[in-house]
Amino acid sequence: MDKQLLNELIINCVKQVLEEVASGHTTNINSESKLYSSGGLLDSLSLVRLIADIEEEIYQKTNQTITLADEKAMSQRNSPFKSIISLSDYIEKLLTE
Amino acid sequence: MNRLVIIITGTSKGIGKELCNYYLSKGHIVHGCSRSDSGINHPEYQHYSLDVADEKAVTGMIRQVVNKNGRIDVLINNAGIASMNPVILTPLQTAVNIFNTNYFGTLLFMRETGKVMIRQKKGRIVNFSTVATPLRLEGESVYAASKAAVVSLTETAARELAPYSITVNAIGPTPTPTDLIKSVSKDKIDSLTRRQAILRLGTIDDITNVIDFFIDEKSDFITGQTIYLGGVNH
Repeated sequence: MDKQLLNELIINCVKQVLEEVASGHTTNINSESKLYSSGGLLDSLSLVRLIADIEEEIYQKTNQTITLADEKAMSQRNSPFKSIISLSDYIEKLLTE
Repeated sequence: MNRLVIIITGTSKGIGKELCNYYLSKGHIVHGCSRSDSGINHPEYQHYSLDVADEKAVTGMIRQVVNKNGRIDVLINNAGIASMNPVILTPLQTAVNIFNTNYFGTLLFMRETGKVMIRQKKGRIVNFSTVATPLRLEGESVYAASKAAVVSLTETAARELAPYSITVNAIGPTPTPTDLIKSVSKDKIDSLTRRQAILRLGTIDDITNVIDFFIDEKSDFITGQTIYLGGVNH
């Protein structure tokens, strides 16, 4: 999957989650935006929803099933859920494995 | 009638098979799984031969259910195995196998189905515990421990999934005449039922009665609960 498309997919999912779960704060979201980290856009509740949404969208676009909350993701010193860039990099890796 | 899409694990025999037939007879769509075939032939039943502790297989099954029906309304985590061993005579592999099926299988199905239900903002999950846990039955330490873990999982998951209008509850059946207890001696079963308030074996009707209550639309304020049958208290 093209990196640009992957970034857009993640950004769209984040916007959707924020609209539904957090009721707003959807402006100025870009690939640099922080997700689940200090000062990030998401709390644990919205992160759970985001993971479910992204896994589904990835399947719809690529027909590949990925599990984002796998052992590698959870044991990394730098969480892939920290920012849109880190998540995009991590998903790219999963898709090419 | 509201036609539900229901997943039931462990449908090749015993309670799982009976539950399958019961919900099919009520007009619902049932997707079931077990290591072996189910022998259930019904146009609204689809079977998946898999090990409930196989992460890839479980993920694949949930994907197929969603592809086919577009949603999952109810998950009944029934698959379970038991082994009668005093603690001192319990092979490690026996304990691992019991936890794989009873706990990790339940966790995997709950996780993957939970993702679908989160997107739906709706769902009912029913897990299976046992009266062996509160009764501290001698000879069933690992089985009871695995089901105690299921109760703990149920209680925590209920809190985590409540914001998405998903309820998670558990039923703790008494011995019910199925394959699971066929190797248990009559004396052992009798001594067990004597510890219940109501002195008889359970029936499939006792079990469906509780599950029907948990999955009822009106039960949206009931979550994180375990109902033990036969008057056994935690």
